[in-house]
Amino acid sequence: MASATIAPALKQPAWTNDRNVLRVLAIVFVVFVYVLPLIDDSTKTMDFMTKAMIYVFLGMGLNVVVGYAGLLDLGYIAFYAIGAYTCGILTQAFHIPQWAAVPGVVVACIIAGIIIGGPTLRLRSDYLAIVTLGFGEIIRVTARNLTIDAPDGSPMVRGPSGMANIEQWSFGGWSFTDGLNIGGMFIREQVIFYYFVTTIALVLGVFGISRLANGRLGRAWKAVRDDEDAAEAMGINTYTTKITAYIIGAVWAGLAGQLSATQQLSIAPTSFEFLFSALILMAVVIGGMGSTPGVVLGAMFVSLVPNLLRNYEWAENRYLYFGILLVVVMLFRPKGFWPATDILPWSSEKIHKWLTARKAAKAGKDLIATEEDTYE
Amino acid sequence: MSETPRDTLLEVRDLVLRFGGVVAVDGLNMSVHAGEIVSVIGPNGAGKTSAFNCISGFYRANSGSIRFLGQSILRRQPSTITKMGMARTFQNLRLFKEMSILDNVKTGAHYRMKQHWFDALLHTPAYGKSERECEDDARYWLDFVGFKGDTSMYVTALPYGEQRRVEIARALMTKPRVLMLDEPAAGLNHSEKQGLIELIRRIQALGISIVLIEHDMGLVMDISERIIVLNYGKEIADGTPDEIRNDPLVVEAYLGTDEDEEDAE
Amino acid sequence: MTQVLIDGLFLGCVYALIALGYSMVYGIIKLLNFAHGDIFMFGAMIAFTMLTAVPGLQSAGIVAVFGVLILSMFLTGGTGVLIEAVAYKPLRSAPRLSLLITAVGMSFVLEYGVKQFWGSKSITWPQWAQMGAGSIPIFDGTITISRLVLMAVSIALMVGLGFYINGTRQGRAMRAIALDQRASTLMGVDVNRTISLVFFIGSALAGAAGVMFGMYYGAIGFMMGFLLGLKAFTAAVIGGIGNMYGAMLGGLTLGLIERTTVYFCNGDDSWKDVVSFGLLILFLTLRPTGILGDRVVERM
Repeated sequence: MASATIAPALKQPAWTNDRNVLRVLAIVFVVFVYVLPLIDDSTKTMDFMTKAMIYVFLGMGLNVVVGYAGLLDLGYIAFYAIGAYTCGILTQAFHIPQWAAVPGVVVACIIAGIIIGGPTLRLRSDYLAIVTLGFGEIIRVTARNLTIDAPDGSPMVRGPSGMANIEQWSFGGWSFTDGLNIGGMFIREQVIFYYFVTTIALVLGVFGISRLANGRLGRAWKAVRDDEDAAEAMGINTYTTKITAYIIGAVWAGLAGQLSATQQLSIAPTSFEFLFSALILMAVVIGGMGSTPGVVLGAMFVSLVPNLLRNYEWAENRYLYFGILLVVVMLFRPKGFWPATDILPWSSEKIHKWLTARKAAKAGKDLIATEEDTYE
Repeated sequence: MSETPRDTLLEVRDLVLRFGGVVAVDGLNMSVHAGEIVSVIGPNGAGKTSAFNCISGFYRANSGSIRFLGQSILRRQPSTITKMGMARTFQNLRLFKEMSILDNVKTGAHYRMKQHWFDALLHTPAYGKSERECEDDARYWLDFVGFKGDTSMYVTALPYGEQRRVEIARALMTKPRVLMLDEPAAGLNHSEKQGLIELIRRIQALGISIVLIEHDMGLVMDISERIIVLNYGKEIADGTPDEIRNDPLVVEAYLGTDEDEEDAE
Repeated sequence: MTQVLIDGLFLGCVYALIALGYSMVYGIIKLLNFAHGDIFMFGAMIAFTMLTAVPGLQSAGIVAVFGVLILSMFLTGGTGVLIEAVAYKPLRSAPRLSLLITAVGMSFVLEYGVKQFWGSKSITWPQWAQMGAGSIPIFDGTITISRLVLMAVSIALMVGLGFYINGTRQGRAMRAIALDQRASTLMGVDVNRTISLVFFIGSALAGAAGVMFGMYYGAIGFMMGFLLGLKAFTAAVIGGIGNMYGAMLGGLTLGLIERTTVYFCNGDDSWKDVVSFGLLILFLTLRPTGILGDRVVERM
């Protein structure tokens, strides 16, 4: 049959098709982020790198919803806000350590995910975009107007001023604020926090999500994204599949919200605007929907650009450039910078075709002969 | 459940489907027995695919009954019907375009894989075992349909005929009792059609009943044990290929009325 | 209470004008055009520039304002057509997700492009081009003459559109494409031209709403299209998306509901958006086809 003869011709050069290349790059990246504080642990660097890792975590969460399940979520930051507020309220109202608030954050996000996703995921998927946009606004407005007092009567959630004095993470008697002494080297709070966030972002965000995507559930997500009817015909309940994607995305965003709240040690409702949701979406789309390396790079890109653009005016106008980039990417490279279907960004279809053509030209007669065989 | 060869697996009674004012399926009756190959034929727009979509749960019938393995499936979701043992392919190829060939076929095992999402997250032994079994299965069925290429390729890189094979392998992966093929020979060349006929016979040999919508009369007459002819959403004939060939109503439906021929009968 | 009704109806007219564009575009190519709200904003901005940049316009008074309104409609209409041609047309056969994301990107381009040229500060509409303050008492409320004029203009636009869609060849072509694009092509309808036309009309109406907004409220800003666009979309869904009369009805309904909410919150308007979007979610859950939409069988 045709496949036997045509398939090898379409193949890319062996090394670009080798997953080990990807592994090596992943190791380089991991080593880099872990070694970085040894090179530069200035407050500024640690601050924006921690933020960048939170973006990576958020990006991987949104990647499940947009990249794998193909659902457009424009209010993703709502769950991030829910996570931040839930951990703030739980730790301050009940005086529990930060880690004990994690289950609360997870449950709150699951409930919110079911409330929003439950009814709308039954509809055409483009309605989800607008509902999530509306939901994002609801959460933002609610956050701005919300005032709750702690059980002891002191103000806890203070409307437009948000929350202050968020608990730092502490385990047993040891808190991040105490720092850490290893072999005479003192590691301060900010660096510990960076390592903490990086580890969570890499383990739960990057590796966790890509593992999920390669399993049974991940295959179902992708199937639903590519063709909903065909997925149903394969015995996949498309509705529950979509809702699991939505909820997992929500939980990941909630955890990111908790991390962010503990980084700032306060919560400001102004940070939960649509722009932030759009920024994470851009990270996913520009990087490559459904592509782990793409989303990691995309998230680093959108979060680090303001720091990299020395020119103040450029940094100020970045949303204009992001908008243009978004349209350009969709028009000319819809799979993003690092397509999920390719091992490396430059092993794209064009090169692929060019190589095929060159091979075909070289092989010349052979290929024509085998093609004739196929259609005898 | 084990059945004797003539047991009825699928039974459709008085099925009606309307789109607004158009009656796509108008009181269809048909049944499928264990292990047989049934073809559904009829002129374009006779309601074949609509009937297919009703049976597999994609359209909600307006009235009538559909019973599969003794249970009513009229209001069931397509995925539930697939789980019960009815698989289908689509008229226009509906493979998952951004998934590899192997992953495409593996989706068919979704509902029977013993793997929770946290198995995938933690790579537990259950994950390894279920993935391995699923992959072995997928390779078995790809081999069964005669696919010999690189399974890590994306489906869009395959020629049309090969994609058809992968789609059938994917449907077989759901372990069906009844396999419904919607125009599987469309767009295939002569040798590919021969391959398809042989493949359908081998599927039948596994004890799977096959329902076929097809326009290629040669193929239909060659492999069908029974043929159901639809016209304007109604069943106009049901019989063996020989009976159908000589049925005046069928001839009329395909060629239009011809007085002389009716007289000759 | 009468005042609430009047305020609500006025706001509803603005929503309805924007909602029409949303609804028409959705009806014809099934795209949620996120950039639509920003077209509204863009209309206000170019009208502002014309009003302030052309010397001697002030002496022409109200005639000049209406001239600018019509010119702005043409310009926003053109912008809509341009956006469709550049960003949406090449993706018409691409997956829906790409189209939606492109629309989000276009919205950003408009917002931050405008910010680039007009700045991020709120812009004050020229005093002379704002509507006079004379008012007429109605029962226990009052309606300013300017409102009355603006409402009349928007109603005239909507009625005109109604005649256009139902009474002309082009209108029939639009309805045909909305029903079945492929069949329309086969029947000789020029699909590309008609879609461009829909974008032109929808964007022109949004532009008109933008100018009216500036004339009435006196202050405009580069982000005003975002929230208003979202509200207008809500209006379109409440009325029944894809249905023209639904968009009008939804706009008026939403305007009334919003003002009533503010009334019952004793003038505190912080929760009105929550109520609107809550309503959107409720409608999509319970009656996704809206008040006037029909239940349509979706074919595979």
